[in-house]
Amino acid sequence: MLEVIVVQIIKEIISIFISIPFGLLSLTFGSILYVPTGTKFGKYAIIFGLLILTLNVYVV
Amino acid sequence: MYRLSHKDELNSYLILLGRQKILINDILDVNQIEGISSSIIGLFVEVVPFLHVIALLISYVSLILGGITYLLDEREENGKKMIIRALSVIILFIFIFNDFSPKNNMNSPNLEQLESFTSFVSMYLVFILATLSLIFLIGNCGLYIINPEKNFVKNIRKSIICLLAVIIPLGNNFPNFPTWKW
Repeated sequence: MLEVIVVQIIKEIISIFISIPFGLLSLTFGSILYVPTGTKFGKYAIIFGLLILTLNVYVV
Repeated sequence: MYRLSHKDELNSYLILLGRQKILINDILDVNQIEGISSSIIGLFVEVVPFLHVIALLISYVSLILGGITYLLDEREENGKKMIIRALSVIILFIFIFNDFSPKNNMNSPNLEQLESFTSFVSMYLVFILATLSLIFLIGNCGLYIINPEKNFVKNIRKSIICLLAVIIPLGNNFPNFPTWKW
């Protein structure tokens, strides 16, 4: 029971403080870079942000 | 065999929860956690909606510039990639991440003004592109009827593609066209 609660708390902390803010930040920053210039860095930032947010939904 | 009743189970669970709470309070420094969380949540609440608005504005401007380049330039490749990139980001923000849009996180009046300005400018730019595409479509259709040439067919195709690209952003805000509130 204790392990379950601890794991749940860790999951919530990861979700709220890491994956959602940094996923969205990466997504928006990537799109700002990618749309006007079409750089690879922007494209990868968008993919990275989407990946983090998807993992947040399905894994965390 | 001894079996716990529901009441015993509940009691043991409550005791466990109490221990858990004490354990967390012992391990973690509450002030430190509050400092970290407020800074990260501050980043999320302030910076992300601002970047969201800027990204949408850049995408709309890019869509318009790409559309005009695509319509006016002889080569079909010019402007096409710009339209695709802008549309992909607009669709991503409008349809997938609508929950995180700045409209739902309006905490500062500056952000509200920026969002209002962005939607106003972007929608009127999109409207201009739609009008331009329609004029091009009608004009080229007329010219094709008078003088059937391949060049006019290409221009008609370009105008239809531009009109299709404009439908999504226009349709999202129709009939509530944004107004500029300062």
